[in-house]
Amino acid sequence: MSAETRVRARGEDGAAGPLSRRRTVGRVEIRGLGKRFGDVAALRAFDLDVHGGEFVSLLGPSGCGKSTALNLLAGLLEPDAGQILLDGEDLTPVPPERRGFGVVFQSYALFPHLTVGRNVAFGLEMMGTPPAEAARRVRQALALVHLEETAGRYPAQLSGGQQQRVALARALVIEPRLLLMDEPLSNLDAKLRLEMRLEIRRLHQTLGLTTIYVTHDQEEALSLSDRIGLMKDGMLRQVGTPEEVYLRPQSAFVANFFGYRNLFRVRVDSVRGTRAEVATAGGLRLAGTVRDGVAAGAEAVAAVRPEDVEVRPAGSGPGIPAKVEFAEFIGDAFECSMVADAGDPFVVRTPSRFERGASVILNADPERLLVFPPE
Amino acid sequence: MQPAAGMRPGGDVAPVTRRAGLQWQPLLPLAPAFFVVLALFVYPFIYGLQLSLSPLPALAKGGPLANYAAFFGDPRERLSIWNTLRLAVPVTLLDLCIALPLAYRLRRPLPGQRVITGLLVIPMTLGTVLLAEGMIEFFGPAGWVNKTLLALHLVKFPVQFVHNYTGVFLSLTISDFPAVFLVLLGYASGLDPRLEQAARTLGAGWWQRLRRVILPLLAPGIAAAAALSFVATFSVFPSAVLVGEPAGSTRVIALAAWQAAYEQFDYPRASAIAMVMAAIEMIFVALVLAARNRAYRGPTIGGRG
Repeated sequence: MSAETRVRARGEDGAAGPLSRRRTVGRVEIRGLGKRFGDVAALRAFDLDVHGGEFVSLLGPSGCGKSTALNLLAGLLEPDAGQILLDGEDLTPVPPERRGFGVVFQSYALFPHLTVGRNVAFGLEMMGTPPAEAARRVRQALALVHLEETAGRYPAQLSGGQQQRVALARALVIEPRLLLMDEPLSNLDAKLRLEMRLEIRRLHQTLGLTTIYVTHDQEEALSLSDRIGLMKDGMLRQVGTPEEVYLRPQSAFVANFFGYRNLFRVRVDSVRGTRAEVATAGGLRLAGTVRDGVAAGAEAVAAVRPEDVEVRPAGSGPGIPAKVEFAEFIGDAFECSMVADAGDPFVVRTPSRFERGASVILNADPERLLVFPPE
Repeated sequence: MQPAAGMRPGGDVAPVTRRAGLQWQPLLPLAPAFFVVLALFVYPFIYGLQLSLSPLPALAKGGPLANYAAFFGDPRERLSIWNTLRLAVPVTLLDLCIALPLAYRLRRPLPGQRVITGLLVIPMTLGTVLLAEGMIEFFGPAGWVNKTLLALHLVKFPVQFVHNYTGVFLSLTISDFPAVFLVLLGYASGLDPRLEQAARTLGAGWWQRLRRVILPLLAPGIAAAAALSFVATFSVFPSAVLVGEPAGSTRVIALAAWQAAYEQFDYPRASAIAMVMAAIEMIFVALVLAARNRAYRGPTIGGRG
């Protein structure tokens, strides 16, 4: 069955299946996908398997290739290499208009000359859905995003959050086998972003659509995803559940992205089992847990989170002597910048206030201080 | 073309009369433009209108509308309207049809785009007379076009391209194109590419994207370009004489007015013809703008980027 007939067929049987039907289809296999722009490899050897109904985020700093990956999936860019399979069918040569994916753009891309209702109906009209049936599904989709009453208005008459909901409804109403979202929340203010995040989570749990979600916001990725793919320089660096990438980063890059704000270039003195002794340039000696590829005598990167460094007043036991540079109150704790007497800077999170210039002792839990091979 | 907010009649004007001293100041910068419009457009128009309503003694017993009655009563004069319309409407449509795909293609930076755009805009700088001169050579019986056609054995005798309807049609199409193209280019470059991408992902093929997204969003630009082009071509004069057949198929309405004024020295009659010309142009522009108002008016980008 060709992609076109399949899209048509879905349009018809969609009449029977309510939007809330949980899906078993939508298994995506991405094989060796690559894309160059001139001399720049925007995406290299991108492999990812997403099972039906899964929510996968692609997370990384801007320019890491995550949006390129999404545009390739949508068919809006042509890959130089690789394949995209959906439920076993090769979609690489299929143009976007016959893929039947739902796409939500960062700028929403609502048609400004069409009312909300017509925007949402657009995809159904393209499929040739009968008008009565289309009207019913548009109402259903708008109800899903709590916007029933705006069907007659134009996008410019809606708030940013409402526009985003319309964009979601427009992508969902065609009952896509795969939902692609490109930084859908980055144009919203903080409060609305949180609200829409819950909304997206709720919709995903209701509809069970396979979703690939691009973001640069680690909190968004952690809260929404079944799995997260960390990207840098056009490559996937680590794929795992939010807990895995948060608690067991496999590289200094991933660690840095998930809150390991203290990163030190170190030389490895000794490795015993998973325990390593390392020394910073300033001569500070630290004990940590090693990752693969770290051997005694080698250069490495040591990383620890601010909350995993313990601070006590000077003279209260062994540890790294340091001075407080400044302290910031962040609501539930203080975040303090410290400088070790050896010269290395630390960011530390502590429940108690330390005055500027105070002498303190720092201790990092060796279980939580990770030693990575250099990038 | 909405009036500026502060100039709307009705409620907004009331405070001006109450506190005239203060409220005049914001309008002061408009004064030069106001006087120019008054001196160059409003006064000549009113002058011409009253002149057209004061026929020469020969027609005076026909009342103030005698000049208009004479124009519409004479089949040869009436024909000049048709002669002009059958140039202005097809030229406008053809230029739109050529300019639209080009403007759409060139809306984003392409290699060599500046050169292409430059070449397309050159005819604007030529002027009708230079263009006519060139056309007489190029399209003439011994010109390159006929030489090529003869050499390829496509024709047995030179084809007459100039000194007839075709000549004026070609000349107007060329000289009018840049303005149409530039207006459309401005609108097309404001199209948000994401809108087309969104339409694609929703299953729209190229024809549906064109019809449902691109054309509706470009409608204001198409209307502006059509109005400009029609008014420019409807008042055609030099090329109708130089590369046309001024005694016959290209006796356009401007020529009829000129003959009334400078061959028969009947200024009131010429003014009446000019008024007819203005009325037809206004009707066309009003129709185009009415059509545009039925279409979408607003930004050509989606959402707030």
